Amino acid sequence: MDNPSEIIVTLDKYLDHDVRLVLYGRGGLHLGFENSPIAWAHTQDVDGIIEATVWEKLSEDKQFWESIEATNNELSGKGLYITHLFGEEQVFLRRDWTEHLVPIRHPSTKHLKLFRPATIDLVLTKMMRGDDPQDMEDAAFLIRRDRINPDQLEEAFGSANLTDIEELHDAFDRAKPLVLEMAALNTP
Amino acid sequence: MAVLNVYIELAMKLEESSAGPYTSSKLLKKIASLGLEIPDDLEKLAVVRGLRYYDTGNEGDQLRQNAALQVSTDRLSNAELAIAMLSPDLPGENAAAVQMRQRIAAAVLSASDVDAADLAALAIEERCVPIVVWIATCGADVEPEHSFWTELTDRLPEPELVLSAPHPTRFFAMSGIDKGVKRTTRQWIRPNLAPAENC
Repeated sequence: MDNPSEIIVTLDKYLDHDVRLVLYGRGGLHLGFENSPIAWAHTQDVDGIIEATVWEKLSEDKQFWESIEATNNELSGKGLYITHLFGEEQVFLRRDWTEHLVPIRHPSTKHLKLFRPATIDLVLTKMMRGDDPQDMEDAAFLIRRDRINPDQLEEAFGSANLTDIEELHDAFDRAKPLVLEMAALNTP
Repeated sequence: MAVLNVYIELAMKLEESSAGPYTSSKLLKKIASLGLEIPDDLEKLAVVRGLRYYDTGNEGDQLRQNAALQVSTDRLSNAELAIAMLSPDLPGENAAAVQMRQRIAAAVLSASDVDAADLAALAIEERCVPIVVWIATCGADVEPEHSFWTELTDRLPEPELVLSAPHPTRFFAMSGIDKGVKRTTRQWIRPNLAPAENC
């Protein structure tokens, strides 16, 4: 079993009720796209975004947090983790990102209801480290796969929530020309 | 005289090429003499020495069986391994591969058996001060209580600009939510094995 699936299946095993979780990062990309690069299957952690509408209830869900801890304890020997969770305000996403979520259907889970952001929102998440080579490789795959063009990106930039941290704004500005250039290849 | 200079230059080049690669790096020559393939075995050795985070192919157990990678820290210290991965004399590759190696090196050089003074001396000798200072600066920001980082930068000259270096967040694992509370936690990535367990 690939690493992201193993992490998800393990977490699902510990839960005793349904939980909605949006995945991103390489783990979310691997589970959310078919024929994804092999490197994505080898990631050792799964990153999740907690939607603002879900946060209050989830923050008080003791059984969920105990399940997270149990998952990390069980998998730490293999170097696998699901500790990287973020509130939606901590991640670059369009303001209406929750209206465009894509269900993740593999692996099969009993309690976890999994989603990933729309591809263009995932591109935005890959811009948080500026011109980081690994993130830019991932962005290139996403842009190419969904044939995202520069106009679509510019529209997404205009509606993106970039958080208040200036360093992240600088990173975003560094990544912009690179992703626009990738998208230009999709323009006939 | 001009003809003589050409012959001298040619003789010097022939001498250089017959001495093997990495002639300007004493450290890489040492590593090559240990039978390690450069650069691939450097990353594998880091995994064998407990850097599970970067064992992305789950090959750790298999690598530990590989006789060629049974190089103890007595023969090649973690400081030397880290600096080797930061050497400007390594074969040129794409930016992603170079930065991945820098990330692995950042983890190895933070191993508990690495001495700041030794590491600084190696960084100067192997001409990789800028990237080591960058890593140490990031380390001090994540772990201000860990004196290793300032001990390291105190021993290094003011560097020139680093042309290519990983984003700080590539050196540590980070989460924005910790046990149901919104707070950012950062954990520097370092090898898991205790020094005595290193091969």
